[in-house]
Amino acid sequence: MQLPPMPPRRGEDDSHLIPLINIVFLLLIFFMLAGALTRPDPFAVEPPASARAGESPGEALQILLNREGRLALDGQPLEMQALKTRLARAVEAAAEEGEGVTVHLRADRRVSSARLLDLTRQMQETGVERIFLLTLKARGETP
Amino acid sequence: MEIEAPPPRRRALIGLTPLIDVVFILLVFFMLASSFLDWRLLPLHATSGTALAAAEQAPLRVHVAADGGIRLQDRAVEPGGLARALGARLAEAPGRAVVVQPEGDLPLQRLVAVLDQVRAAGASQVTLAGE
Repeated sequence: MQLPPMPPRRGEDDSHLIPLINIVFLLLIFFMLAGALTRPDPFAVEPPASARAGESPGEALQILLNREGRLALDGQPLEMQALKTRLARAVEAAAEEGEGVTVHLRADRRVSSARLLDLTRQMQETGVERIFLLTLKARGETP
Repeated sequence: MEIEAPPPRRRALIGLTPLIDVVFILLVFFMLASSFLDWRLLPLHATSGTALAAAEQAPLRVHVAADGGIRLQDRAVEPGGLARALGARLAEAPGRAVVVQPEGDLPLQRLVAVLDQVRAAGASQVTLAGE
């Protein structure tokens, strides 16, 4: 009986893979540290570009306003009334700790100014202390 | 018959291949889940017309038409010249409030461009007001 020839032995161990692992580890650490994990948005929002630099965003309630005027608070779509009650509750909770509520508003670049003003005013009525519009750093010129 | 015993193999304590698999999966996860967007903050403050009239020093009014035309204190300003014109006014009275009045149909991107210029002029108090 003739056995088929033995397959050629692989290298003694996996030591030739170590440079690959090094690179992959470095990439992994880079993406872990440099990228910010964000929850996916319930709908698409194209932020406006701004040339003037503001301070970098910290922790705040995040409100989305898309082109059709749909709203979302912290990744959860809701209506204007529900948003106001949620904000009022947040303001109450923050007031007990002697703090104000900060809101980061991510509005679509094509949304009308009237809609933005209306939303800003309604948020101020609920007692939100600071409202910031989130923009992206402009690349070159603004259209 | 004599069977030769195979030479003792040096075995790695942990196989490297599963480790690489896991690290690759982590890498792909972080590549897809992380975002590298450079967010900036633009403070928003809105007032109504009645609150404006109550201020002791009349604020500088910047009116922005829906087509992007800018008027500073009812005088037309060319689109790129707002920062300079407003800067000159603010140099006379530093700390004077500036009110930006966008027309309702103005897209947000254009409003942000105007707000950029107002901030570039050095205005410290910027509010938005409806018409």
